[in-house]
Amino acid sequence: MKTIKSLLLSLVATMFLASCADDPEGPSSTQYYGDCFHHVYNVMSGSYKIFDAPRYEFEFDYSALTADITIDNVKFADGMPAISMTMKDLKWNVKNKFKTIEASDVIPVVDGKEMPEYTINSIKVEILDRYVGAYYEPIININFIVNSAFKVTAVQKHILYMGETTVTSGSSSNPFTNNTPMYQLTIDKELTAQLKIAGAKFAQGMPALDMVFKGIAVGINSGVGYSLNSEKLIPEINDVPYPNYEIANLDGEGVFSTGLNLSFECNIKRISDSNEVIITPYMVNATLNYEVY
Amino acid sequence: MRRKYIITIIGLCVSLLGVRAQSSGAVADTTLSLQEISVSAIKQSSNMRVQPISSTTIGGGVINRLNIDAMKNVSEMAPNFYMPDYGTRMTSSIYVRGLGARIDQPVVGLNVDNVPFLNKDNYDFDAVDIERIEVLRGPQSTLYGRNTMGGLINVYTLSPMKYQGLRLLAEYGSGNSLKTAVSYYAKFQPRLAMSWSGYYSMTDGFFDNKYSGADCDTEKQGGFRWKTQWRISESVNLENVASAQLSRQEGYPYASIVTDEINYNDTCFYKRTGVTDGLTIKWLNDKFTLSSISSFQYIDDNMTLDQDFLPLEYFTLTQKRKEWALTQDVVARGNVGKYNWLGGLFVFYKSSDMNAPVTFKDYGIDQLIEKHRNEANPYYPVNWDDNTFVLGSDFKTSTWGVAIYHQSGYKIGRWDFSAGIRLDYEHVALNYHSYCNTSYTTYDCTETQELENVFNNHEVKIDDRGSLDKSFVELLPKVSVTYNLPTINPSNIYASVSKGYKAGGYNTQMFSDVLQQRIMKFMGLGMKYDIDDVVGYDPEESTNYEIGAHLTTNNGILNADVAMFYIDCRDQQLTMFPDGTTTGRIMANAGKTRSYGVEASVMYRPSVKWMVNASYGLTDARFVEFNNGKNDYSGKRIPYAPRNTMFAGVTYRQPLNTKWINGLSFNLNCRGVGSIYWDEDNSVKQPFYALLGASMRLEHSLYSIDLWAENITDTEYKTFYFVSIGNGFYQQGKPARIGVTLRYNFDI
Repeated sequence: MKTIKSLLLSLVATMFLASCADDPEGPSSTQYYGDCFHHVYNVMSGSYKIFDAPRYEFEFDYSALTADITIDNVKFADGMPAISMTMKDLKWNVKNKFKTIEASDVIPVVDGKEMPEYTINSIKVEILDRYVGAYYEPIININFIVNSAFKVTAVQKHILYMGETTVTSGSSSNPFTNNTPMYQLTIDKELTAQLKIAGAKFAQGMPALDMVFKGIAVGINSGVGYSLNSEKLIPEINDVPYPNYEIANLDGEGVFSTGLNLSFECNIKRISDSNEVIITPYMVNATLNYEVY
Repeated sequence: MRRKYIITIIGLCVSLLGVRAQSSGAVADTTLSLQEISVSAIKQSSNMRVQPISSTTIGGGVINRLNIDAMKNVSEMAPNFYMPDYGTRMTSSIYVRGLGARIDQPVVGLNVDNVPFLNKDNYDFDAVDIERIEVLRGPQSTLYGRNTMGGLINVYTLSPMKYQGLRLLAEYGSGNSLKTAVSYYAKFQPRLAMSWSGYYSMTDGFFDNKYSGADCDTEKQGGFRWKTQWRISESVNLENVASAQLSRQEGYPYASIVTDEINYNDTCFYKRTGVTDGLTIKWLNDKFTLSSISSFQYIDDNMTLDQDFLPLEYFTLTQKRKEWALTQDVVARGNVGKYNWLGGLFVFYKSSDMNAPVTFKDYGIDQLIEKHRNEANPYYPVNWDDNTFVLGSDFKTSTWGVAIYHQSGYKIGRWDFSAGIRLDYEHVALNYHSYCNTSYTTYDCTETQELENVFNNHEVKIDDRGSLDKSFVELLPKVSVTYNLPTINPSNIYASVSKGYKAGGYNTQMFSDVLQQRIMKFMGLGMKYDIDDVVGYDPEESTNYEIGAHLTTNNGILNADVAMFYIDCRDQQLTMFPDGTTTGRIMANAGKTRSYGVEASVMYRPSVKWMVNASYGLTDARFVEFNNGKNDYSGKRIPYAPRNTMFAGVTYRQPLNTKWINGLSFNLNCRGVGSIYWDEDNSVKQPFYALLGASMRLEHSLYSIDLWAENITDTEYKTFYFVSIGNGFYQQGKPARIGVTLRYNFDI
């Protein structure tokens, strides 16, 4: 798999198709969303289930400022058949650049009939229409509570972050800061993540690297965000492991509505001319958000 | 074989001595024919010394005496004008007053018999029967447009209207250097004259390649010119000059700074075919003159280089190009009483097809790619699957431009006031195709250092096509004031301010950097840059402030020209190292420079027997701002531009009244240049050096024989220095040389 092409092109190919009947400032638009899985938290039992491949359709009315939401392939528990539910005429507006739909106590329509047993106690949808270069890279946050029993979070599978990366190393007293690296986070339904850093640099004058961290453990905080953890991992560059760039103590705290704070250590090993192993430690802290730099 | 050839030529010349002939006499040093239609006469004046311009005119006498047959021979003769002799005929680096260019756009324009040469790669060629060379210093952009920011050179060849006869030349000198030329000038009617000239030269050069044991600066070249001058009527003059040149050079004599040896293993050569035609038509009436200058130029060349200049299999470069250009300049000029005016329209179109592959070879792959990559990851090292691979590049570039210009002058008593303006629009488009098809294998060496366990195989396939385009608009003003001194012979003091520019465009040589970055990117290293950022650059602009004087004593025996100047240059076109890359560079308009200095030229003729000419130029040219991403060079001297140039020549002619010799001339000359810094850091330099030359001429009305010597003291000096993949190389100047030149003129 080629690194730089997959970073952006795969997202466009798989994730999101924005279809507008007219110009977004016209009367209405329809958006589809499927690049996510449902993390369903059972309030009673305290356990959670993952259900893959829900499909969302949003119809925005720009004059009435109302929106219709249709969710296909929805399940809340094992053994339950997948259903399709529609909620109509929900109020929406723009908050902090996100198109935001908020509503409470909504009775959805399933198979043409209102289903009070699936009452949506509260629902919040945030959509940031974002372009990175020529590519559409939206941020979609969705969470809702069903019948006071299930907290559903639609976890976006592919999220692109940018922001400030600060690197401190033992050999230099001045931290190195830059905002050119791009962080592509991919979360799968097994709750493991792959983080790809395109253009990672640890020092001035160092060539930029496209590093991939695989197998990061993910925890979901329903409706709020997620965590990333890994004690030790070997990054890959261009599908080749780089043991001499071993990563340790990777920690990430993601908040769906704002961004991701990430930190890790990178201990770069090199062999000197006298065959001595020299290790240079780097501490990386990244404060990432959804801004485009 | 060559000796027989020479003897045959000399014998032919001797046998023609028996033919009755008339002598046209020696060519004057500053011959200006009012019958010629020259571009400088069309746009300025036939006498440059009445203009508010710092200029040097080299006449036929000096040209003959110093064997000037190419522009590089004029170096240092005009103050602050330096054209180093290195590389091949494609290398036409010119530095004037601290401004210069090694690659891409030139800072000095060149017209040959009114044909504007648009590509500086064409500037270096030989010509026979050069009658006059004008070197105008300071921006000439208002009247001549693009790429005349440092000045303009006009070369004029002998007019068949002025001279009719047969001219033969045979020359032999050091380095087994041979040159022959034949020209025939005829006037068919009082109003129609034509000339045909041809030449051939060859040399074994002066330097050997240690690797092959062969000469590495040999050359063979030839050319032909057909000139037609037709006075169609009392008011219409026409001149057409068609020429063709072929040259083939083997090798680049670049020696390692460490070993002082020229030692490289791959083929190096440069060959070129050039065709030009220039048609000038001038129409005069009572009120104004209208002139049209049209030209066509075609060049087909091939430069192939061992780009590392080492006896190692690093990489080679080939650049094959076919380029053609059309230009059209229409100038109207007139005066009404004390007011004179000039207006013009200039258009041009240039199209170029280039194929420029870089071939990476075994050692180059190992050192430039595998080594860097494997240092970063010794546990999973890579090994290229092929011993060589090609980074291919094809380019199609089209450039066109249009300009209108105007100049007005007004005379009040002894004062001449002049102001001009030019509006210049240019558009350049580049279509590129970059390609590469290679692969490498990654090995798992976590348990063994041997390349046994294949981890994976990677293809590196690049097939990029794209197009870029830029447009530029430049407004180029000039103002000047001249005070004409109350002397018998024209003398004046002047001051001027003028703006010049060097065109923007695309540096296709930078595509190799783009492709290298692409390959590194395939391996997960480095950043991919926008191609336009890497190869594109905008115009460079300068403003020249100057005061000067042209002085002639009342008895006419002493001419002196002096000038002081200050130039500030903005948006300088430089190569930069953007952050994040180990090998890549980008073109950028990133610098500001300033340059100031003085120039002086003197010609002294105390009697008909003696002539002394001398010139001196001093330039202090420095970066005001220049940070290339790795270092800050502000305050450093601009590399490759000399601080001093000087030339001095003394000629003595003793008339003799014998049957075989009418006169005996001696010339002693000295040219000097330096110091020159070779890098932006000013860490490597060539100190000032001087080269002594001399000649003795036996003259007859029909023929002349020159015995000459150049660099008599065998001074060692460097004409060029550069660094390639961390290794320093230089080209040594030519050693001491002697030769003999036989000229025969059978005047009709």
